[in-house]
Amino acid sequence: MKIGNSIRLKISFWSAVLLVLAVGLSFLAVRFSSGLVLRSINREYLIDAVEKNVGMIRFAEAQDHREANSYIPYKNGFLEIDEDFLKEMGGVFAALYDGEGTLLYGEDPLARQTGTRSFRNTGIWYAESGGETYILYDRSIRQDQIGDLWLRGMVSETKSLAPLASITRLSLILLPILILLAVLALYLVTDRMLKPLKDVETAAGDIARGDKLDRRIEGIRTEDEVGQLAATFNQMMEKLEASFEREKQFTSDASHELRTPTSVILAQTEYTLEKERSAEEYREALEVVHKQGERMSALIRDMLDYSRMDLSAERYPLTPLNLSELVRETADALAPVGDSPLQYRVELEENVQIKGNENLLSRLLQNLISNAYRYGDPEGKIRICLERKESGVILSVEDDGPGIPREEQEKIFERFYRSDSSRNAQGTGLGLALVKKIAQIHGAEVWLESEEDRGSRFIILFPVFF
Amino acid sequence: MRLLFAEDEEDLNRILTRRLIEEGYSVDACLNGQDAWDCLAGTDYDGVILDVMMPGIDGFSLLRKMRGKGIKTPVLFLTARDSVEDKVKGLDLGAADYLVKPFSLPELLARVRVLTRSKAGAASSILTAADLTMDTAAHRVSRAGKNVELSAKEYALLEYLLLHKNQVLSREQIEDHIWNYDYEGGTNVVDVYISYLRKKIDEGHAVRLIRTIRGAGYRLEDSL
Repeated sequence: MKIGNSIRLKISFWSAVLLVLAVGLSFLAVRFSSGLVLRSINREYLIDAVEKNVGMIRFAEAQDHREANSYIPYKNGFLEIDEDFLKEMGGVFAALYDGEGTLLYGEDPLARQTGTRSFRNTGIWYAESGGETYILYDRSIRQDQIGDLWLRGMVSETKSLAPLASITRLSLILLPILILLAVLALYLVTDRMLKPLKDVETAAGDIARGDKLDRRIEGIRTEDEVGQLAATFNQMMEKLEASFEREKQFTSDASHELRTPTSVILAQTEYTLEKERSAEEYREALEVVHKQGERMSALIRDMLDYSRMDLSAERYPLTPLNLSELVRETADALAPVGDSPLQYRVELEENVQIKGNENLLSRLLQNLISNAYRYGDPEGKIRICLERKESGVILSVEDDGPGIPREEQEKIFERFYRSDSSRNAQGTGLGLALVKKIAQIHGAEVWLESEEDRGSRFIILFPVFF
Repeated sequence: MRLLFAEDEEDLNRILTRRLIEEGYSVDACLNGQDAWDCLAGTDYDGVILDVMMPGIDGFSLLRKMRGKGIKTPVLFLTARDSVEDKVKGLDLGAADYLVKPFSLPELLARVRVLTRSKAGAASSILTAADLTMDTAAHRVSRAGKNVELSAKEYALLEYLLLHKNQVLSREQIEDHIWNYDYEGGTNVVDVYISYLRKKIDEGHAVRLIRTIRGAGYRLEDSL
């Protein structure tokens, strides 16, 4: 797998790079600054040691044997060196010279090696010898009887910095190993952290290969990004499955609904064409074919309308319109013709304004009125009513047909649902489903008040905010 | 052969009933499940064709009721429900066959022949007794190699006799299976059609295949 293809490798790679940079830089910084600090400590220590030793040197006329001090013959007396004089301490050496450069007291490892005797009265100076760097400090001593003495202090910088060098060596070995271990641990941990992501990928792959839309990502309960991704993924699949299921159901409903008219037409034509038939039989056959053809045509129209509304409600823009006029026009167009015994009443409140789609609302009303014709008593009444109420605008269509039993009242708005009593009626099975869909597009509620043998009243409530 | 046909689509019901009658079956046609159940309760059919979605009682429930009552008549479902689940359900409930709409008439008729044959225990569309042969698919009857022209009712009667050859069939049995509820003819209708059939089948042949069993009914002999 290329690094570019695996988040895990990418994370490990970049964290390794960053770790190396961070560790390397901090190592260098520590190394550099501790060098500085050590050097400055060395210098202070050196000066301190020399200054302290200066106080240990005195001129004495005679030796006092009772004391443990050292006496060095000097001019007309002695140099009395106090026993507290430190020749060497913690790597700092001290040496006392006379004006000619003769070592009087103490130790000078540098002079032993190089024979350097020149003194500099300029504070700290450095000298190289035998691969070591020395820090030197020369102090001239002038007291009452002392004229030209030099006290020299020195310390090997190389030796005093030796622990730092070994720490550096150790770090150069240990740090890469630590970095390696950290990256390895990260690589293993990311595997655990990314496992849910892998699950998501597997699930998505399963879905892509087959059509297992019921597949979900299970077992991820974390609240982190991956948990959220899994949750979102599951939600998406939920929606997809639902809409796919709807689509599948619709296709199956549609083919099912088309099967019956198709089989009637096929049976009728096969029967009629089997042998010579009478003119009457031919006529009857054509009538059957025509009737079933019309039924299929209505079914196709309603199914297309329904699926269009179902899939893209936004293609029906809602504009302000006068609902009273629209209801009057539609109701008038569907009024019974001739001297029908049917009582057809239209009761409208004037100038009811709502935001809606003219075509859809007209269709909704047509469906409700034809429903009333289809199931109502042909000698009964149909009442169409539009009124403003506190809760909104109410449009209702009432018939005095056989009514709908309570347990079927919800179901009749489902597409292709047919009650036993309506099964033989020539509807497409989509009329009320379309009514419901159109009401939904308008944000309206639709329901039914019905009692068996007392008729039905379909009610659409358009909310007031329109 | 007497069939029960239940289908709530009126046009389809009418046209198929007509075609089945042309084929020589006697058919009781119902537009809903309740009527079909009433018919089943009173008659021993040779085959039942059921729609699944019908008002009253749906086809599946009807079949369940039939089997519950011990009615073993073979059932063919004729339905728009084409899902595998539905087919399996129908067949598991005890249907002999399952035909999805839309279908072709010849296929339906062939399946109905299988259906009615299966009840009588025949395994092919050719029925024989001695030198009498009936090809139920081609609708042809011959005796000793000579073609015999039969009317639809005569054909149905002969087919019934052939399916139950060597058995004594009472006049009531024959009437029940060949004539449907719509028939309100005289009681000697069986005797009349038996005599028609004898004229066409047995006349001019040395051996008479259709025998009258006194006090019991008729029997078709399988031996010369």
